Amino acid sequence: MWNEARIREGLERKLSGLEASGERRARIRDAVATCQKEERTMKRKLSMALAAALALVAIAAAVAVAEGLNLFQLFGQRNERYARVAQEAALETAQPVQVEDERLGEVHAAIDGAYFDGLTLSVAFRIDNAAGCEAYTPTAEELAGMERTGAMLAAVAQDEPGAEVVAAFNEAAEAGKPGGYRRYSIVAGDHTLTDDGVDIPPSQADGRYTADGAYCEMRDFATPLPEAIRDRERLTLRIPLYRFETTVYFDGASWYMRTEREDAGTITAEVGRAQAQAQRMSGQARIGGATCTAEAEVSAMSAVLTVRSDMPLDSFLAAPPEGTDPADCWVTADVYDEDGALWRVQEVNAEATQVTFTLEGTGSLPDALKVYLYAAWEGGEPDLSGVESIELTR
Amino acid sequence: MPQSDSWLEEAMARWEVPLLRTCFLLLGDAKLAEDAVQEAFVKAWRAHGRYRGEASEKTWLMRIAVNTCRDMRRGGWMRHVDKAVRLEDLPEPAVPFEPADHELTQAVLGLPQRLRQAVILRFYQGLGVEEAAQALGVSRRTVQYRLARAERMLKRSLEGLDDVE
Repeated sequence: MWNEARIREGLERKLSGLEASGERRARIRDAVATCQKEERTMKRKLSMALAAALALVAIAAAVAVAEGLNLFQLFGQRNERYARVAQEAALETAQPVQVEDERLGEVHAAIDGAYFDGLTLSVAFRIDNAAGCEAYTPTAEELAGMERTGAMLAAVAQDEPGAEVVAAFNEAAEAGKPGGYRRYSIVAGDHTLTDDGVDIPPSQADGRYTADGAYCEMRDFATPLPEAIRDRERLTLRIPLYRFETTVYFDGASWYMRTEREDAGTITAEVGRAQAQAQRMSGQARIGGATCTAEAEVSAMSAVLTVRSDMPLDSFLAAPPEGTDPADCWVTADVYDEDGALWRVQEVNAEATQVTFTLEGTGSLPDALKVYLYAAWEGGEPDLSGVESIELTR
Repeated sequence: MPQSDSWLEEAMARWEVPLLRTCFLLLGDAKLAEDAVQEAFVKAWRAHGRYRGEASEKTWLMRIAVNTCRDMRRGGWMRHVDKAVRLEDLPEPAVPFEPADHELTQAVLGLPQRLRQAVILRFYQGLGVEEAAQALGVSRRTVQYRLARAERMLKRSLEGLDDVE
C-alpha cells in the first residue's frame, strides 16, 4: 500500500547512497570561512553583547517545572489537550537509561508518559542533565587529532547548561586570548519503534529545556496509527539516544575543532490502551442540494472523519471567485464539538464525492461533532456565513 | 583555511544527510543538491544567531533548504543540465531496495514543484502540517490542499506497481 510510511521508507532506501561525506563537510566549512572573512571585513569588532545574544538552534526557552507535574501536565500548560489526558498517560512499565557519563556525570533519560487509544499516540520523555559545557584545553595528543578550523563565534542555546562558559570563551577569543571549551549532550533519535520493529511515523514534536537543565519533549504521531499497532492492547516503545561531544580550541592564532557522536542506549516503556476507547459517530445532512453522509472514528485526542456525497463535491459547495483555476481549489471543513471547541484539521484526502479529514482532538471525548464543509482556494478566504452543517452523534 | 564553529559541526552531524536527500528530491540533480546543501548550511550559519526556537530546528533548516532550492531553480541552473547527476546516476543505495522504490522516487520527482515540496516535507521528512506550513511559508490549508493533490497524482503514477490505498 502506498501510504505515508511506505513513501518515506521507499525514498529513504532509494536515496541511501547519498551519504555523509567528509569532503562535503570540508566544502561547507570552506564556504562558511569565506563568509566569515567577508563579515570580518565589514565589521570592526563584535561586541560581547552580540556574542551573548547568539542562540543555538533546536533549543527553546526554559520552562519552569512545577513540583509533581508529569510531562503531559507540563506540556498541558501550553496545550490543554495534553493536560486533559495526563491521567491516561501513565505507563505500565518503563526502562530508563541511566549512565555515568564521563563528562556529564549521571544522566537519566526516560519516557515519562504516553497516551495511546488505538487512533492516537503521544509520547513524552525527559533527559536529565542532558547537556553540559566546560572550559577545556586539549592535550597535545588531543590537539593532533582535532581538525584545524576557524571559529569566529561559538553559539549556545539561550537556556542550555553551560552557556556562560561559551560566552566567556567568546570574550577571551575576541581579545585574542587562547582558550577552549568542550560541549556535550545526550539527544533522542528521531525514530520511535515498537519492540517488534514497527517504526511509528511521527507527526510533530515540541522540545524544550527546563529550569533544572533537563530536556523534555512531547512527540505526536501520525493519525491514524499504522495498522499493525492499532488494535494492540499495549505498546512497547523504544527511542534511541545519542551522545554528541564537541571540542573547540583557539591557540591565539588558529582554531581547532572535533565533534563525535555515539550511541547512548535506548529508552523504552510499555503503555496500555486508554480506557476511553475511540467511538464511531455518524450523521447526515442536505448541503446545497446534495445528500451528505459523515462517519467518524473519534477519540479524545484525534478523529478520522469521512464525508460522502451523492454529487461531486465541487458541484454543490460554494464556488470560488470567477477566474480561479479549478486546480487551485480544495475542500476543507471547520469541525466543532458540543462545547464549541474547534477540532483542527491536520490532513485532508479528497476525491470527487468523498473527503477524509484527520482532526486534532481537544483531550475530551465528544458527544457530538458539527462539521461545516466548504470549498477553499489558494489566496482566498471563503464566506462561511450560511454554510450548512452535518451533525455527527454516537 | 577551512573555518567553522561548534554549532555548524553539530548541525552537519545531525542534518547533512537529511538536507542532502531533501535537496536532491527538490532539484532532481545530485550535483545541484550538493551546491544547495552547502548554500543552506551557510545561510543557516549566518542566521542561527537570530533563531529563537519558534519552530523546531528541523523545520527551520528545511525552510532554508526549500528556499535555497527555489532560488537555484530560478537561476541559471538549467545551463548545467548536461552535467546533471540524475536519479539513474545516483550512487548505489547503501541498503537493499525494491524496484518499486525507484518508481516511487521517479513519481515524486515528477510532481509539480509546489506539490513535491509538500510531499517531501510532510511524508519524507515527517514534519507536521503546521511545521510544513511554516517551512513553506504558506497556510495549513494550502499544505493540505497540496498534499491531497499530490497523493492523487502519485496514486495515478504508481497504480499497478502495488496495492494502491
